[in-house]
Amino acid sequence: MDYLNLFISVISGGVVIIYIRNTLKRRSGDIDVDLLEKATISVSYTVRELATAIRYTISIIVEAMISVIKDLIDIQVNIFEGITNHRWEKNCVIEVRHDPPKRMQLLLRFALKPKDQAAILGDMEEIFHSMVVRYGYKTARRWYVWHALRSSVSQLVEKVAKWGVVAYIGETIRRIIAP
Amino acid sequence: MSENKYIGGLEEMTLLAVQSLGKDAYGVSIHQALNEAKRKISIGSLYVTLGRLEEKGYVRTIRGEATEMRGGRAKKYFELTGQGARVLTAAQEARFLVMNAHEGLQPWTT
Repeated sequence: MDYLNLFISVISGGVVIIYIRNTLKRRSGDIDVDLLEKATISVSYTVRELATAIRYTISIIVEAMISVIKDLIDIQVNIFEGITNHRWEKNCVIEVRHDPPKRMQLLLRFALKPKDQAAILGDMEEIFHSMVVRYGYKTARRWYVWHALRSSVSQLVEKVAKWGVVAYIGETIRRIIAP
Repeated sequence: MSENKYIGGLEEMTLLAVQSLGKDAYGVSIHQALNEAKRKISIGSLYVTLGRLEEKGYVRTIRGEATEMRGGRAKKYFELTGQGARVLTAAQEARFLVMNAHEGLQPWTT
């Protein structure tokens, strides 16, 4: 729309200027004040439109540049914090190993049945690593802590299932915490 | 073991996931399948259910490969047994019968 306005005003400005020149030529030195005023207004309008169009173009370019920079930052974050487990610090790349929280792993080792221990720890670590890539370390860590607690409760209840009343209380707690 | 033995909702869904995943049925993929079906359970609870199904003889386990992403721990694949498949079919048939019960109902007579 701005380009259309610019085009129209440039054309109209040009037409007005040509008209003034021809008129002045015809009247040979007899200067019309009204015509000069009109020409001045037209030229100033053209300049204003031109400035608006330039501003508009610059804003489009800046927006595009910002989006490209944002994408680049996102890619950088993914590369350095997720996929390759590297972090950018003080102009050098530091290798970071995003391991699951150690305390939660210890809790799981205590709570899980030896038969399922390796499989559950392995499954949770696999999900944890895929979550680090997808959502970042903090979210993955939060997920791991929450699921480790829930898994520990359900497995502990299963362990003490033979104890009757204790099992009933435990099952109730389990249903509340991990439905 | 009776083929008409009752299985719970979560057990039925787990068996269905194991059946549909086929050879790729292990903890993570079953957990994902259940999550997609809006059953948000922890991995620990899933293994409790799978252990129960294994005890009943509905699934059997196969030791899989270990990967670096899993911290060098082996996968545990699950496979539906013949008995498990029969129980699942029976549960689905029962569900179907209940759903279409109104067609076969007779009016009360004294």
